[in-house]
Amino acid sequence: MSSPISRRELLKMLAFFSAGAAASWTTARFLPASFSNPNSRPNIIFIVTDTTSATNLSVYGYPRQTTPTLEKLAGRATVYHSHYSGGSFTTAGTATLLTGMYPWSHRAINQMGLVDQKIAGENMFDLIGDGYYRFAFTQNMAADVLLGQFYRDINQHLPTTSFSVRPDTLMGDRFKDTAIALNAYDDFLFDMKNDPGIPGSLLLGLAYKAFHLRREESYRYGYANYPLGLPIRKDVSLAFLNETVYDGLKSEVGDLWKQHSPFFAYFHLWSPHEPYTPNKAFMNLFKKDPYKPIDKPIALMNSGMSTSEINTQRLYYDRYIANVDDEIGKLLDFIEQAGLFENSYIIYTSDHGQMHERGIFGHVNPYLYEPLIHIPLMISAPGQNTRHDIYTHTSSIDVLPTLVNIAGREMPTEGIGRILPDLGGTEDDGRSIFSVEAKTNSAFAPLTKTTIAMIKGEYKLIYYKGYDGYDDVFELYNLSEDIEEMQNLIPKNPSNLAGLKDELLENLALANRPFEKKQ
Amino acid sequence: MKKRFPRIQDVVPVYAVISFMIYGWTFVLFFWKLPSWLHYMTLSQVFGAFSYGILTNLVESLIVIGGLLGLCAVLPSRYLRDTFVDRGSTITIIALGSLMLYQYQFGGVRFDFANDIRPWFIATFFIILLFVFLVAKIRFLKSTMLNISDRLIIFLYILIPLSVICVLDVIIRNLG
Repeated sequence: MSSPISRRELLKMLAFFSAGAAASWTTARFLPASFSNPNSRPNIIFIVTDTTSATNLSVYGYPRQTTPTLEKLAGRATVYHSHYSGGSFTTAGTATLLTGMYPWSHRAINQMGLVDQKIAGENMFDLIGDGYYRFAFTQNMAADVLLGQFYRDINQHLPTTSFSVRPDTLMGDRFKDTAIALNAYDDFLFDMKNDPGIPGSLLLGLAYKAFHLRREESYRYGYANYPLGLPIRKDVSLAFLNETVYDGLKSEVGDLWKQHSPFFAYFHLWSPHEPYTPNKAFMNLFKKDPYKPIDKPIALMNSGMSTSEINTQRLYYDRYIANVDDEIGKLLDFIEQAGLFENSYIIYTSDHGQMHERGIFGHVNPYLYEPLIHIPLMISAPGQNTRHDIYTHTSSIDVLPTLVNIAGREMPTEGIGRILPDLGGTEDDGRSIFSVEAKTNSAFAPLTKTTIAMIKGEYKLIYYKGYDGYDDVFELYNLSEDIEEMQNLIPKNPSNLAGLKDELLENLALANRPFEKKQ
Repeated sequence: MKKRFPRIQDVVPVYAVISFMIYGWTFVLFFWKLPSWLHYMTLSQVFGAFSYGILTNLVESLIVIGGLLGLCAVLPSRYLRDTFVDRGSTITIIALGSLMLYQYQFGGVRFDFANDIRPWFIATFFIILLFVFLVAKIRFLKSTMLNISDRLIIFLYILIPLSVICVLDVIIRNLG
């Protein structure tokens, strides 16, 4: 009786199976899970640069070419042209991004404030779900305390001092119980903030501050590539090099890709927050360009700086943005080379903007003009290679529902945030978008000292309440005709105001209601 | 060597003054923060933050009393050791009071902070010298210091057990 398979055929089969086994082992060993499992979810790489106003980015039409990298990214992304932050500084803006709620709901309205404990459980990391490996890193202490609040939902939370020149600065990081220790030491006992800046520890708090500031100052200078001194985090006066930080991000993305796909990585970088310290290559940028910012009337609650000083700061800001854009470019090149554009969403946005006009410098002020709340949002979907432009108004409250949708999950409750157009949502030109500023209002009381901006259709209504000499004041601008907000339409045509005013005040009353009951 | 240090019954009232001021400062700022923390943190987390504060206070108070005992060891005994309660309390109240005033008036981060602080503490040093001299000369001042330090001992019955509990809490939180 002859054998059913010949010896030659048996050898062929063995060779075939051996090759197959080797190939599958190699795939499992070296390729991320998403590659070996076609049904897995795309990765999400979420990049937030602090204090980045869309009004200063060339990708949004700014005359100085500040963002060649983002322009390149725009060629393969959806660009949201009318995207607004829920708040005008880190705490309020970031909490809006991470909770999908306006500041008057999440209540992180004060500097270094936290989200209302009742709603903190439903944050971005929780809602994306444990199907993703969730990674978070921020250089901004105000954002880091929020991440600390969500620590149960984050698989890996990198210390905020990572990639700094001297990463041993924060006391809280030295304890295993980091979330509480950061609150206790760096927000209370050794408080290094400008306001109020009174440490809860009488002796060591003061000694720590004196020692830390002296040491920080001593090593900040002396880097040939940074003639203006190293970039420094004003919140904890911690120096760093942008190139080191972005190299760190590349390394983290590489590790996440190899070990934890699908992953959700949240990166929140300090630059281009002031003080503006670009490296040598960007120091002389735009020196001879013809661009001259429009002169605007000086605001009542201004920073006490002359127009010339403000314009100089704007020039430095633009240079610093160009520097940051260059670093983002290197990170995106790494992502491209790793092939991550094919299986990942790349999201770029900011927490709030920055003012360099009307005598106002910075973002710690009561205003909500376009430079403060008009922020960039660009999203590159997996494999996307064409540019899409969305002009309808969108808000940072929309980012969370969009990410939850991308993660294949549903929002537990129907919030006011919507899935972004082009990513499963639809455009709605009749929708109202809000930004809320209430830094000095108690987080546990109705908003009585606040600024609210409402953007609806072509109009933007700004309401100032509770300020000395500027109480119960409305300003109305037609953004389609007057993007620079030069013509307040109220004195000319008060009838424009009626419906918008009622809507804004109704929303404010609704937000205040739970706190009025308590009182 | 033992003769260079004050008796334990003289150290306790001065330690009571030190503890009262150091712990008191933290308590005031803690209660200022508490409404906000209750809004954002669980009770366990708030107690955790409080424990770190008390642990730090314990270290601070031991540093200050250690400093005063160090001075006793270095200086001739008539300058400090023999009048440890009244002079030690005077030094503590003025030095820590000056720190409180400075923190309250000039809180916040500025890069010239370390230089700013120098004249303030030079002035404080001379005020301490003046009062250390006066406390030996003015009976009312001396009796006031003795009374204050004696009456503050009662707080040690709260602060010491509280410190032990909080140190244990910090250790447990950082185990594993």
